[in-house]
Amino acid sequence: MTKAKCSEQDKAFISALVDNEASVDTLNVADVDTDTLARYSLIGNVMRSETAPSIQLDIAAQVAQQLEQEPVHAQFGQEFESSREAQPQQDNVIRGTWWRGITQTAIAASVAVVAVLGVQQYGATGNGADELPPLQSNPFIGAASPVSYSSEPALENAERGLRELQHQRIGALVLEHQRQTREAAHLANTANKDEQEQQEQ
Amino acid sequence: MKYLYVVLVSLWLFPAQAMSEMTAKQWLDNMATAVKQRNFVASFVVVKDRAMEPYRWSHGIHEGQELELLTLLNGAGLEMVRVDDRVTYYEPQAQPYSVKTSAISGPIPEVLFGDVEQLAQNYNFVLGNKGRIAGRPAQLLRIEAKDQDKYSYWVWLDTETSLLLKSAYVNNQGEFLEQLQLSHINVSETPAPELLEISRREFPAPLPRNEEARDQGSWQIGWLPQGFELLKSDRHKLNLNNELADYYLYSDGLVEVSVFVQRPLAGQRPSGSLTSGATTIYIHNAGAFDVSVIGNIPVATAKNIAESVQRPL
Repeated sequence: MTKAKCSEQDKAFISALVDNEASVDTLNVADVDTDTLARYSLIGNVMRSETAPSIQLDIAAQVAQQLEQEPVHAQFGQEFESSREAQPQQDNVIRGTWWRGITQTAIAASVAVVAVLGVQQYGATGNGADELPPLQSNPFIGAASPVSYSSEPALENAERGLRELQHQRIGALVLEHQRQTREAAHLANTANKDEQEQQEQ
Repeated sequence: MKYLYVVLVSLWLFPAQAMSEMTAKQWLDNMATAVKQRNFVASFVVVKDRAMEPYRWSHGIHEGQELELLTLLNGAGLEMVRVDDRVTYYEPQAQPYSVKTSAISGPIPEVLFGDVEQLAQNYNFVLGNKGRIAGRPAQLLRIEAKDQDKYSYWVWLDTETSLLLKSAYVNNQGEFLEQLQLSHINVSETPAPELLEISRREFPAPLPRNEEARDQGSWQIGWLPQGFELLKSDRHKLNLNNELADYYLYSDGLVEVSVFVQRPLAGQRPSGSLTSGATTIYIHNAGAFDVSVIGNIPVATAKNIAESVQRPL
């Protein structure tokens, strides 16, 4: 049955069917226009607030598609290394802009890390079940200290600058800790070897 | 005759016992071997409070070379590649660099891939319950801290393959602070194609070993939890903001703790802590200097370390 043939009467019937106001035995199921049936049952679902599973936005696929079309800025590994050796002058420029972008992301990323930390810590104070409330109640980030309510714009700016400086420092410390623990792997190995050698002697 | 009977019975009993009742230590040793010998591709997430980090983890042996790839799938990206005993880190904020070591320093403590015996001084190995994780039968092993200054680490292993299925940092109230959970693992005969690509890559040369960096710096760190030893101390500029810091790195074999001593920032700032999963950042404002302690340790421990730092006499 095509849409054109679907009469007003049929539509009324389908509507009644999806609302449980008509029974299937009075209808030849094969005759129902599937599009209309789907649409009507969706309308029914919306009105009963049951739409969650039927609305699907495939954002991930769209983002992936977009990413595929993006030009590649950074090609790690051989190609990058060899091109740098071959054309030092020209490549410095490319590398410069590449780094600038990356550094900005890095700072943004580290601030984001800390911002997330701050929010979590803020949330943690809320439940009151923490064993160390005095420690936890001094958030660094997002905290409205009395000074920031000041009407003096200069003071406010100074306070904001200080907070930003602190964010930046915490971000830098977190990244530095991560890097040092990675680099320390061989230190730990050598420390163990030293101990073993000492024990053997 | 009686003795012979005892000997016969014990001969019959003990191998059976060994088969069914492996100790926690044996389980962990088996895992360390399994993750270095199997070809597998796995996905896991690390859950820290309300944040979540998804990773893809693959490992394989190709032409006698051990290849391992660990990728963070969200955000700007982080890729860790291991070829035998060289680990290379690719991340957005720094130039790629290599370290000569036999385990990737990622969300799973490296010691689990090596010899856990070195933890025996500070942790107990306890055999836990059996359960089902990621659709597979699993055995829980608990690496329990002997004192309250450290977190415990729990590991769930696949009873068939001995591979890791789940792990968690646990505080002394038994609360999970940071959990790592596999959502899928595929053990195969041949290594994954992305690993074959790695074996053809060129890597930066490993960073030089800096033995002189292990001298004791000038600050006095008065207190550390039992079992933590100095790995490194120096004065250097931080990569990100070029700020100068006196730096100390300690480890108890399972977790690392960084202590930074820096020039104080201007203004009145109270001391305080931030946490993310098992990671604690404690910043202590000592007046003339700031002490920051970072590591997977309880807040109270970080606070005690930070407050114990004193000016050299």
